[in-house]
Amino acid sequence: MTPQQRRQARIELWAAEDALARISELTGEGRERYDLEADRRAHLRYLWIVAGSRLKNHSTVLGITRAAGGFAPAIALRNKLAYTAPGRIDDGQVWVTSVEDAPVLANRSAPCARFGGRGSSAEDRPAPAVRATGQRRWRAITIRAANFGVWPRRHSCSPCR
Amino acid sequence: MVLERPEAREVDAAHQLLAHFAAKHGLSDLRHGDGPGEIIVDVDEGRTYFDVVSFEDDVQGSVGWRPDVVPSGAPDANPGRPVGTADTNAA
Repeated sequence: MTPQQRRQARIELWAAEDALARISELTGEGRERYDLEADRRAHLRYLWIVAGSRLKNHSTVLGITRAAGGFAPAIALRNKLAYTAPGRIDDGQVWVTSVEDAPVLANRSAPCARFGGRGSSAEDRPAPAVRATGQRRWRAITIRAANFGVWPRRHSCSPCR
Repeated sequence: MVLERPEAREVDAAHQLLAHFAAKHGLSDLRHGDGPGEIIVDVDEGRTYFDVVSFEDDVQGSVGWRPDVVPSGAPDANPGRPVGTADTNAA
């Protein structure tokens, strides 16, 4: 794998993590607003599509199967949300998925940041578009920890082995 | 992306396998929907869309076609006859 591929894979992963963090932020603002505001529901779907697309790209660049990275459900959900008519999507289930699965998925993707290899660091990462919240700061800390090799390996992503 | 969707009779023929995977992923009351290969399901408490798409993955891995699973809570879900029962409207 070339350094350019590693960097590209890392950028894809970071973008996915940003989308997952935004999902967590939206769910943190409560179910009531989600049920009331159609734009908010559409935005949550969009964020899942972004997260799934970036994880798909990440897997492609690394040449790993989606299952090996543990991202298969997120990528399949991306396909479902992107290709299904809006009326055939259950927004209640999207909410439950966001609450239950987004944090787990974000946690699973964190160790992958190690694949940056020698010389990589969290400082390579593009500046976030919005001011970091506490959750974003915590994620940056975990990514930094992963880059310095102190984060435990949790899955079978090949670059993490 | 173009997916091969099964005909209703193919879905009915695989109903035991579908029931097995549905139970594994916390899905129940499988019914035919409006579109080809569309299956309307109830999603058990504590299960999510990840279970729905994992069910689709499992079915595709076993029979080669991918159902289009729609949770019964979707606004346009139109559950028809249960999967695996005879189609009385068939010619």
